[in-house]
Amino acid sequence: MFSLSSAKKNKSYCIVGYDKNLSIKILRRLCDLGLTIGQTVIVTNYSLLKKAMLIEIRGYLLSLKIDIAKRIIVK
Amino acid sequence: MKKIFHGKKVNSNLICGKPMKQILLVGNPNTGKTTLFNSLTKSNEHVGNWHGVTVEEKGKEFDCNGQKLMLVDLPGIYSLSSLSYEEQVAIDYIRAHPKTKIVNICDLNNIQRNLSLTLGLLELGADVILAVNCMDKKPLNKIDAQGLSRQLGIDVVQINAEKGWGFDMLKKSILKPFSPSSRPSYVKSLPLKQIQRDNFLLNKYKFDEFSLIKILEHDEFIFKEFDLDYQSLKLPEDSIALVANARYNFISQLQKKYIHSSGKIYGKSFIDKIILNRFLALPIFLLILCGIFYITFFSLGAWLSDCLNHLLDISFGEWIEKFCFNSFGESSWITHLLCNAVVGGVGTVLSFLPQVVILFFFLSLLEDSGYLSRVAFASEDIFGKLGLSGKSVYTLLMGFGCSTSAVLTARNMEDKNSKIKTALLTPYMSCSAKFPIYVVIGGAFFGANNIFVILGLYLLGLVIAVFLSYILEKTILRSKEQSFILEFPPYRISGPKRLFNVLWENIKLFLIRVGSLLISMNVIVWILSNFSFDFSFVPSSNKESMLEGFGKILAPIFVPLGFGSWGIASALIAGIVAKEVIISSIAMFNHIKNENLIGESLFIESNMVYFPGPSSVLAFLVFALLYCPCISTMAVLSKEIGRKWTFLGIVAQFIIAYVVALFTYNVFGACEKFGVLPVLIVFLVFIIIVVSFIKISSAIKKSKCCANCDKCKK
Repeated sequence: MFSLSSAKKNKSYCIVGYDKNLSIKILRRLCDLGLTIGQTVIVTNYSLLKKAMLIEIRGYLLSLKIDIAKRIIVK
Repeated sequence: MKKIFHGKKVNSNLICGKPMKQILLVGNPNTGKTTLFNSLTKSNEHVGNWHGVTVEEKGKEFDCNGQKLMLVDLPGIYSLSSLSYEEQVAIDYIRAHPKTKIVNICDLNNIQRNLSLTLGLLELGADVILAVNCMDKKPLNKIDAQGLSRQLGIDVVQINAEKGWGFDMLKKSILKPFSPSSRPSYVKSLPLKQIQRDNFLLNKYKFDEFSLIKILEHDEFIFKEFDLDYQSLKLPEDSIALVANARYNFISQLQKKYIHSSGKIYGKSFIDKIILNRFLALPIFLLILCGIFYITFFSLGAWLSDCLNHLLDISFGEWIEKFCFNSFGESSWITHLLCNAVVGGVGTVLSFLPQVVILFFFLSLLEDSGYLSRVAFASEDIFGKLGLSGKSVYTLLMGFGCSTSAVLTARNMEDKNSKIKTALLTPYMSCSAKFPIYVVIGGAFFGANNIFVILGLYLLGLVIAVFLSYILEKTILRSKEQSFILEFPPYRISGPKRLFNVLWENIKLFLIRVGSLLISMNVIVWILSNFSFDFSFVPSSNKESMLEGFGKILAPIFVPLGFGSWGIASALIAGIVAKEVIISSIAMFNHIKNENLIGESLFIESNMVYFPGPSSVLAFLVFALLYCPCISTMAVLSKEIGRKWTFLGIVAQFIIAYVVALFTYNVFGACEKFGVLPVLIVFLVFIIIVVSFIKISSAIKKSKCCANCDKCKK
């Protein structure tokens, strides 16, 4: 298990949990957007300095900061 | 004509003394809520392919099969818990109107995700109609509307918000009597009774199931309302994820039975391989911006502007002049007022109509295309370093059109400091009202090279905004961590109807602005500049005008900047109302009736507005770009970020404008006198000295030892 931020581009991963340091507001928003436990996620792109990433989740595209991705645990 | 109510005024519309029955439009961002609002109420409210275009509630009366109802368009939300200011507006409104019918709009292409909000509304027990908006010819999903309706226990209607398909069914559903929906079946599986058992504190209040779900979700609203602290409550581990999983498992069950998915990814396009390339994304965006500015200001826009100017001059201008000469006589004050304030002042600004409209047209194209989300992603790293978010790109880009409406979009920001920063930086962008100043005054002195001056001014505004943001981030407005959670919409091309609407709306707005604000301001400036304090007509009495009196007091402030005449000082003060007034006032002061002649008049020393040389012109242009926002922007700033920050922002803008203009005047003045090379050498030497000083001092600090000083020796 590792964080989503270290996931390889264009490979599928399964969300297994969240870091305890993830703020409640952000965790709630991620859950609202479907980043729920057991869900498959694919990293499709990174920004210039790799501070933000683009992911495929539940059939749509979503960008998030790498600092947030660091707190999403995948396998 | 029915009126659109904004903000809190939505509730004030009455029928027979009672508030009009309301219908709320609720949905995820960018699902077509405002498009549906426009279609049902026959309005032309701003829409775009970007989340967070609508930032406040707005309502308008509409005819629902003979019954008058108030349709309320709310900002987009993902759930009944907020992450930004505009989301809180929508959630507060929904919670404040519990017995109101809700039309929940879902995008058919992304219905799986959209249904999460629908379930949230059903948990609330609201009376919901699910309007599934089919925006594309080949949607990514197909649904069994009747099956979904049975399973959810609410009306499900398929519509096309733009073309009006399915509106009959929707209106029939709206007219049904209010009946709260039953909560979805998964609610029973949530540990609601368990948390009541485990927490004696919760038994003090009679919480309904919705409130208990919100307690599981650690919702701040509920904790604040009942003065609870979630840390003192015993809640299941990962209770937030527990609720979300229950919702999405329920959606998966619905999907198996009633939603047929094509398996394609919503918003994914092959163009993104180039557009989102880490190294190409920003150069492509800059190229697109340069292309837009070139077409708007120098090729098509300039040609159309010339044509309109010619037309205005030979038809409107000459006709009014002849009419005035014949009716009132050449020396009458009425002739003077109409020829100077109306023909000269307003005519000059009116000729820029094509360029302003073309600029807004391109900004709308960008907004509709879905490209701005990609730009926000590409620029997130740079903006993140400055304490902003990639989402600020939208606000700043809209600032090139109109600062007033752009400031409102700063509500998209996630935290207060980012919102204040983004709002304060917006007036530094060159809005469309400043453009006539650059073209007319810059064009007179720099000719064909004015293209570089204008480009430089646009860049200067951007650079100062970036620099200021960096300073604010490091000092008084440090931002909280930004999540940059942003959904990518698909690429779309605006339809002809939408393009026509954009063009027509902008022409109308420009003409209304010129016809009302500009004419009234010009008349005021004309009166002040043509009548003395004892109210005698200045051209015949040769006394000092009121404006001259005021202007002479202020003019010395601008002497160090190279434009110390009272005419320029007065034009700048008048420009606080609206920036277009600067150029119309200059035309009026120099008695010019045609935009093309203003340039020549600026060289004549005896004129009220006179520039001694290119360096003073550059300093003036820099000052006009930066010195302060217009009155309407100030009002919006005050409403959005408070009076204190607005006041500080205006004072800072004036100081920055003064310092940068002073620097510009002196550096370019020195270039005129001594040549570019010596100035460049001096400038480089200065930079080397400053950088060396900073490096040396930081090296000393790092070594924590000041070489061989007495303290260290000891």
